[in-house]
Amino acid sequence: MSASLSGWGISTQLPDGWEGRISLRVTPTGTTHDEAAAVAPSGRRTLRALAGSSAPGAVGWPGEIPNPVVHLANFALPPGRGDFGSGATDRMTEANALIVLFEYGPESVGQPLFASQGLPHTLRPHHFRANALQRQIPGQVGFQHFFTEAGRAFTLFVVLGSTHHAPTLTASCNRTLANTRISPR
Amino acid sequence: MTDLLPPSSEPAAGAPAKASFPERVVSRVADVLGGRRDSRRGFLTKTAVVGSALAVQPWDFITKPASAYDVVCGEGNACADGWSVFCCTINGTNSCPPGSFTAGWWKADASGFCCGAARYYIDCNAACGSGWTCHCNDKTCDQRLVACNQFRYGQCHQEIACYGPVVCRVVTCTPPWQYDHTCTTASATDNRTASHSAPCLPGNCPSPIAQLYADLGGPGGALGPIVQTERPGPGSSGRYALYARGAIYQTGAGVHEVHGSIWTKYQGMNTVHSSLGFPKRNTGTASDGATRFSDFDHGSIYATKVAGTREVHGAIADRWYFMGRERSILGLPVADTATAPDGKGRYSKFEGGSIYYTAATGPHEVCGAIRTEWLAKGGPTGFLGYPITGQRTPSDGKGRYNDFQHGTVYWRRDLGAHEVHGPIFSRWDFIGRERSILGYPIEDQRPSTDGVGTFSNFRGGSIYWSPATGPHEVCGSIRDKWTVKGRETGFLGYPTTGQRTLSDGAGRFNDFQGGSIYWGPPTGAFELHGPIRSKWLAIGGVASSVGYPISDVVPISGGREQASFQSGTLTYDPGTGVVTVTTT
Repeated sequence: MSASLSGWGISTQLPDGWEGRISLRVTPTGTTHDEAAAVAPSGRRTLRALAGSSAPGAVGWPGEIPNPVVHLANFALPPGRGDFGSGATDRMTEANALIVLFEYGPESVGQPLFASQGLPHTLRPHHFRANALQRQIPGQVGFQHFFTEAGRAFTLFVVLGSTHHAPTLTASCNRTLANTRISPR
Repeated sequence: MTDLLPPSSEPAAGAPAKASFPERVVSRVADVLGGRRDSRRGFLTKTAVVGSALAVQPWDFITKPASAYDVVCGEGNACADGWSVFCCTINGTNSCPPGSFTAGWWKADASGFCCGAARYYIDCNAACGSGWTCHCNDKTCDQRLVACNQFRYGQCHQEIACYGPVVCRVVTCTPPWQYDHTCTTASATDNRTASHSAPCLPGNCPSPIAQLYADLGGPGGALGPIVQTERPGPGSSGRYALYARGAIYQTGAGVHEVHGSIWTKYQGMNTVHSSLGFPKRNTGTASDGATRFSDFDHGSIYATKVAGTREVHGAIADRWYFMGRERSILGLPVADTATAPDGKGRYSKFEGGSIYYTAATGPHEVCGAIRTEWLAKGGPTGFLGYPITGQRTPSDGKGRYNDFQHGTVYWRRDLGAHEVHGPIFSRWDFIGRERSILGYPIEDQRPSTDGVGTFSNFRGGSIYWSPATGPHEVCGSIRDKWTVKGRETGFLGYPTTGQRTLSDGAGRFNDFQGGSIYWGPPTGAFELHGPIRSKWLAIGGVASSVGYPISDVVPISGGREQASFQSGTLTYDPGTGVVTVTTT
């Protein structure tokens, strides 16, 4: 049974056997990096601070702006997988695929890096490379593409479990991408 | 590695500082690792490694049998693990090596390396055509990949669309958008990399000064090697450390560095004891992309390509900041803030003008042709004095002007820059300046022909001043008639009133020392003086039966004088002293 997913102006219809998340991390607030440095003692902090449970800036400093991140996969997405899925890719089998859509802020729109228009949905197996990965894992191949759609800047990052299954996985990814819509913010 | 240790961690002779729990653990374990007969350097090196281990896996390291080196590089440190190497491992400094650029970043939350705050990883991707080739690092335990992963986080240098693989990773506790201003604040997180480290990186929660030093590249970075370890002061507040090419100061405003020619300049000014005070932001790049600058409590130092390294401080700096710094009409400083020739004020020169300041007048910019005109008239020690406004735009939006203590300078492209000062300025100001009938000045104020007074010419008239008469404007047809009559050197002399409206609400007149000039819409301007003028006024002036004059007072036969009016004449016979009114 297929499922639909939507949030923050992004929607998708997932093929059978796929699951996904559209998430937005917490925006850091409170003490700035400079403020924290200003009041820091000259020496070290405590071991409790090393654990970092409630230290200032523990999840980033004010000014940092999280944007929506989409993870779509034909396997169970683990928690704590990281925005580009490093916590998921090492669990992938040869028959698995992971799609990541990572959004940038409005200041990125119009930059040369995002000159390409539109979310790709006609990927071919030869587009994927063993070195096009955040972290190289033997057998896996990846594809990354920066683009703008609906006045929003993104990068698409796709990881396939193996080149052997690339034709099938690419077709499956294309179906998923073709069913993904991005609306103006 | 030793150089990266915060200097404060060195045991002071005779008076060891009170150590935190992690410090005591680190020291104890280092003792065990190295034995008690190690050299001091050996001790410090081992302490640093243990510190890294403690930051990477604090509980495991303390409780499980393992060497510090086994864990100092964290998880995934083998080439086959597929991660990218740290820059300091291959570059000797925690910064992007040549042929690469900051291309994107992510963070790991709650990192022990950053005292519980987020730790940032900044990818250095190969520049297109730079020639980097993929290989495994084979030195130290950080044996991760060099220039292999064709992947980009994408928040930095988005103007660069062509890129190669990740050469290596810089790691900082400073947010990337502060580390490199091309980086955006779009957040990315990957806590899987939280334990990744290298022997060349600082370990367990360094002091803020040591942390910033490491973020800036450590000994191989812009600051260079340590030459004086971290210590209190100078002065009564904060801490600081000195390096070969700069310094880092920690104050209530944060932790900030100064380096390079800016540091040399700052040293020459006696650093924190100077008029600049403490640094309050790290050296940054100005909007031109080439000029470096540092901000201090009370000013800035700019290292310019054209004019060298220059400082601006105090109220002048505040004004310049308010105007937009180098993006303003003033541009970059081209000289240090200096004392004005009269010893009362200060000024700074910029590419496009100057800012002058006194306690009485405040800081104000003077630019372009107005500045040239003002300086030609003596500048602050001339008759105009110091500026009391910045450069402003007149009501018509066409020109520019500055007001000074004793006058003004107006500029318009088609008229040039001209000053007006003293009583004449007061009068022009009173009647509405460029909005008045006079409009813009078209020349500088100058002495009258008779050497007694002064005058200024404007587009719509003149203002004449003499000690006996004060300043008064003369305009249009009345001024033309006065000119025909010889102006101030003629029998009419200086104006004693400005241009006034006659009782019918339509005509205009000026009184002069020797008579008056009356102008009416249907008749034009004519002068009346002496008994004829007095008689005409006595019978009602323009409201009388004769109306407006249509001639000047002219001599006629018999030594008499006569003026013609719309409906008659007035004739004066000096022999009888009588003025005869004849109506037609």
